[in-house]
Amino acid sequence: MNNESFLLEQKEDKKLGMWFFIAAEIVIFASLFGVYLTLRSHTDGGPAPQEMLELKSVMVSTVLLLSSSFTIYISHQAIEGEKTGKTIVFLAMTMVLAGLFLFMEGREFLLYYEKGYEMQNSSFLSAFYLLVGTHGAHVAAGFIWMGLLLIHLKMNGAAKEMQAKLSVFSLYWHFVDLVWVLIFTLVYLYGKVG
Amino acid sequence: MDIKYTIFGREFVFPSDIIAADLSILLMGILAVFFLTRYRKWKYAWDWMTSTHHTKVGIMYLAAGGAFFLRAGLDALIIRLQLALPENQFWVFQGEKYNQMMTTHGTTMIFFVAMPLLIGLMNVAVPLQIGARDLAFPYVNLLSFWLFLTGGALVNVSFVLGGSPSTGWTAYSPLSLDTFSPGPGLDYYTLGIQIAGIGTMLTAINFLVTIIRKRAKGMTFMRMPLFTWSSFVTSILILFAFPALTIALLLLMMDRVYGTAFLSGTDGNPLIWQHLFWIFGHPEVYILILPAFGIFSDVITTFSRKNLFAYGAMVFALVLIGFLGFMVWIHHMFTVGLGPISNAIFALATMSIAVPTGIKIFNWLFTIRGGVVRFKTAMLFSLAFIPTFLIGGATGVMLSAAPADYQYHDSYFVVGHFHYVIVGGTILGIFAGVYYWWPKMFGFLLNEVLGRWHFWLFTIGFHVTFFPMHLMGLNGMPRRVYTYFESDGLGSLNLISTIGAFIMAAAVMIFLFNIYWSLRHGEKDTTGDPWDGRTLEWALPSPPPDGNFIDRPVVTTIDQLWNEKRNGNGRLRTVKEDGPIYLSKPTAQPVFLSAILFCSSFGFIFYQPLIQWAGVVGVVCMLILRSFKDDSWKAYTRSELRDEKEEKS
Amino acid sequence: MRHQLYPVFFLTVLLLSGCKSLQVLDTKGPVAKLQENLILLSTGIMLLVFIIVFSMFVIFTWKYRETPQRRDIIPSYVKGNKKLEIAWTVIPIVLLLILAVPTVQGTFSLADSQKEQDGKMEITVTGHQYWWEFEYNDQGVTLSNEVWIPVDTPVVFNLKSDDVIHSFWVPRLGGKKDLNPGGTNRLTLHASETGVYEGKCAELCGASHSLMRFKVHAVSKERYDQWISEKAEGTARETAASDSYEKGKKLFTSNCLSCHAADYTDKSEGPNLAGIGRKEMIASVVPNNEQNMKKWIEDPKSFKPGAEMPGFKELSDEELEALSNYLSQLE
Repeated sequence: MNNESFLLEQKEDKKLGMWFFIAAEIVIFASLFGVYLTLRSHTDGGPAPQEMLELKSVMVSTVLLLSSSFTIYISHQAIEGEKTGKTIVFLAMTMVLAGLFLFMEGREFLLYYEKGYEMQNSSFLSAFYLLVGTHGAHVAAGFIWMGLLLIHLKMNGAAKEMQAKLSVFSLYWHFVDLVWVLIFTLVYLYGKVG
Repeated sequence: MDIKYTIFGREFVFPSDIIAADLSILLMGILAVFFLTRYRKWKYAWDWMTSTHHTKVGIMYLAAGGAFFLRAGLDALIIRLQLALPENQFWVFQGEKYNQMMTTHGTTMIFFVAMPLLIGLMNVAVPLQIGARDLAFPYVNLLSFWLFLTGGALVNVSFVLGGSPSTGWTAYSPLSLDTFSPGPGLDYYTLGIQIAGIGTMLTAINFLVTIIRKRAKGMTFMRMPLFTWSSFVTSILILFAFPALTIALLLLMMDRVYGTAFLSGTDGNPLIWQHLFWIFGHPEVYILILPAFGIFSDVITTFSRKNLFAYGAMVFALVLIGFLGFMVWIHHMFTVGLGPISNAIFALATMSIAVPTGIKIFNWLFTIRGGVVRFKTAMLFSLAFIPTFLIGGATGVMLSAAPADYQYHDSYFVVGHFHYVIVGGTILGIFAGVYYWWPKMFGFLLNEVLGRWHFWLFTIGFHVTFFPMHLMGLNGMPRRVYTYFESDGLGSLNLISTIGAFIMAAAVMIFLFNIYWSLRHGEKDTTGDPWDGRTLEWALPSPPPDGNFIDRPVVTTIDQLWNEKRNGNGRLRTVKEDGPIYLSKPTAQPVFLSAILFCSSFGFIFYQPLIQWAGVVGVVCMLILRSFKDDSWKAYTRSELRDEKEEKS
Repeated sequence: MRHQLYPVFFLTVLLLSGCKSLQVLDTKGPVAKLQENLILLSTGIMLLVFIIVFSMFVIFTWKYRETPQRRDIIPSYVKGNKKLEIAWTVIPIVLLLILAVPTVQGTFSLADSQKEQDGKMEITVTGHQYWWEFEYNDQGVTLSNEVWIPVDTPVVFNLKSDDVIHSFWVPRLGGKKDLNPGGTNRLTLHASETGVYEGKCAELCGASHSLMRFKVHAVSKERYDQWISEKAEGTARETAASDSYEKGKKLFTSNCLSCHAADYTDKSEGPNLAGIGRKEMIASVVPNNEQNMKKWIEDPKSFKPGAEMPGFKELSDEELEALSNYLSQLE
């Protein structure tokens, strides 16, 4: 086994590992959604979902995050073709989009906070902040991760081990986006409607 | 029983049990430092702590799990002493203190004894059985170990630092909320299990990737040894069950530390905890028993000198049990009042698990039939498992009948039942596995005579301890009580049970002595195949060299080594490969990462936001550091490894 | 492998000697009887399975053990056996079906009997750390740690909790049901013989979980009617009015009344003490005599760890005596 095939094997190992990690994450978010749906009617001491949730800014966030799925895809394609420049540009774009998403979410939470909607007030608020916040933490982790990847790319270029790193990250990022689609539907849209 | 001093006009109170615990910790610490210094083993110990090699990590799991086993066993003896007589007052262990003992006993035994011991054996044996050089992610493997140890240390240290958790290992809310359990005990519980649980999830991913991607050439899934199969299924169960616990613990921690309203009876819903806990908790018991099934399959085939009867059916039964394990959690909640429809459905689903379990038992029996049964200690434990587990399984079926369960539920009948399956299944399996793989790990055999003493005392003590518990339950003894009245008619049964517990303790002492004796005088394993084994690990020298297989084997059948011995020249055929062999380098990062987690946990336990943030930042920094120090593999040439192998033998 | 007979031997001896006296198998009502029958049926089936498998186990391990003659035998490869596989899949399924039918029937019949509300006697049970409160809603009577029911009458217990989860269990009358905070569970029990039956909390609820007990007094219908109307009339009977009694009453009013009622028709935050004079046990755990009563008032936590009641150490010996004398006359 030479270095090349060792790196290839490592890449496949890591990708498979990430798939299993995502499987565990699915159960994590499924549990959180379950908790949220059980408690969303427990609004004593706080607002109901209809009166609280901000739909407009969240739509913007949704667009931001969905486009970031697209940019990471292009970045991933670029590194497979060993195009360092293109990889960096699109990864940086993804990072900016993630940053904007985090900013929007922070602004949204701050708005709620100013209205006095804190997570201790009611079970609905607890469940809402925990679910959306856990997803936000995943975006934040991805944000830091992307920063590291960019530094590595600057240092090493689109080397073989970077391909592994980026393909693992892109799996993670697509998953985080997918969870957001569910949050958008089940928390925000469903919250506004029902 | 407090020791009181009056110094300078102020009274100081020292509870005697805390003093005793402090002294024992201090004594053990001093002894450890003394021996490490005396025999100049600091470097040696550090090499172990930072090694990513799977057998070394596995042995560390076994050692740490063994230490926790002694601690939790001591808890068990204290519990049995307090319950030995009606209205007994043993030392300070009544009320809250008893609850602390009972909770640490259960929590430690499940999370920090049974699981790590099994994972330790998996670490040792699985890569060898599939012809791999190591796990897929050796760094993550070491990290998992340290996370487990951190979690275990947190739960165990709680007794002397503010009080242990006291709500049973199930920690039902709202009792576990800060309103009703204000001390730090439950915070130790959430943090400790959370950290260890993350480690366990990483282990599961590691084993899944290893088993899927690192099998030797020709080793299809249907040629894998049963222990590897059971590790595979167990890893899947861990992967899907533990996240539910992660969320349950997160909710409990949020409620306790940040004042949210998830689980309280007034705003939230306490049943969320029960559902999430048992969605994890029921698969958990299969996580504990399936690897033991795997061990028994390997041991029984080896010591019957016969192939496994109906291999396909055995694999199918394993997978089916794992699958059904997720469908039955409500049977822990029959008395919650969820209604007859869900109770009936879950009763039937639970009963159905008896079918694949029965298939396994019959296949083991028919493996023995027609074989040549050698009663080595590993085999004795495996054989004792069959009738013991049969009783545990039978009471399990009885428990599944919902209306009858209204009587059994939360009584000593249940306590008897789960000790029959966990001790009679998992612990017997672990002992069998330890005796079986001991020569592979250390290069010498454990003494058979002492092994037999260990076996007989343990098995007899086990039945004496736990059988009466079924009858106590039927006579109306609820579980988790610290006392009962003379008029309850439970005295003699409890006394018998306590005597049994001490017989088991004696057996464990003999086991420890066996290790000590065999270390000095034990028979050396020069061939690497002391039991006339069937699977790949017995083709290697004991202990195996770094990288295990210098030339990786080719597999054409189940029990490859056995076939080579009977029909070939006794040596494995190998693949010819060129180029270097990549092995993982030692790393101290997991030690430091866990140390940060350990320290910052106290920020959550004693509500210090600054320490909490320091912990978060510290962990992120360690992960960033890891990303830049990624040179964790070293390339060896074949001759380098061969030389090392020569040196060892 | 002779030792393997050990559990069987043990089992038989214990079964023969003690089983009939085990509470769950010596039941006093139809609910518990249904459960007892199911337990016996499942034990029977499981015993059958155990005997068959255990015999196979003993025969196989003994017959195929390694002996000097068999030392060098290499057993031949056996792939498996389809017929046997089918047999030990189908037979357990049949056995399980035998058990499944009464299980499902029982589950639904016990549940149905909990839905009918019309005409049944209802008692509200509230679990507290660590005592039981029983309210007869129709008569306005409140009892603590004891409940009186007429025989041959189904009684519906409405189960609630004031703090954590408790579980209501009277082994001789039937299985348990949880008391969940924030919800009500219904449990129907039915005594067919008069007697006093032990009740327990079966879900860990804190330090004194073991001491959260109560007694069920099952009495004849006539006796019950007389008893309940007596209690519903109010005022616990005051027997003798002596100085000490008056003093005790005064002490009770100033110290205890804020938490404890002394009248069956009153409600209070702590246990209603009406009838404490005639009870066998104080707080369901200590034999009721003057000495224990005094000690209890001084330091209740020494009997019931974690109990909410504070100790009244400031009371003099004389005052304690008067108070306990007063309490002993609350019937």
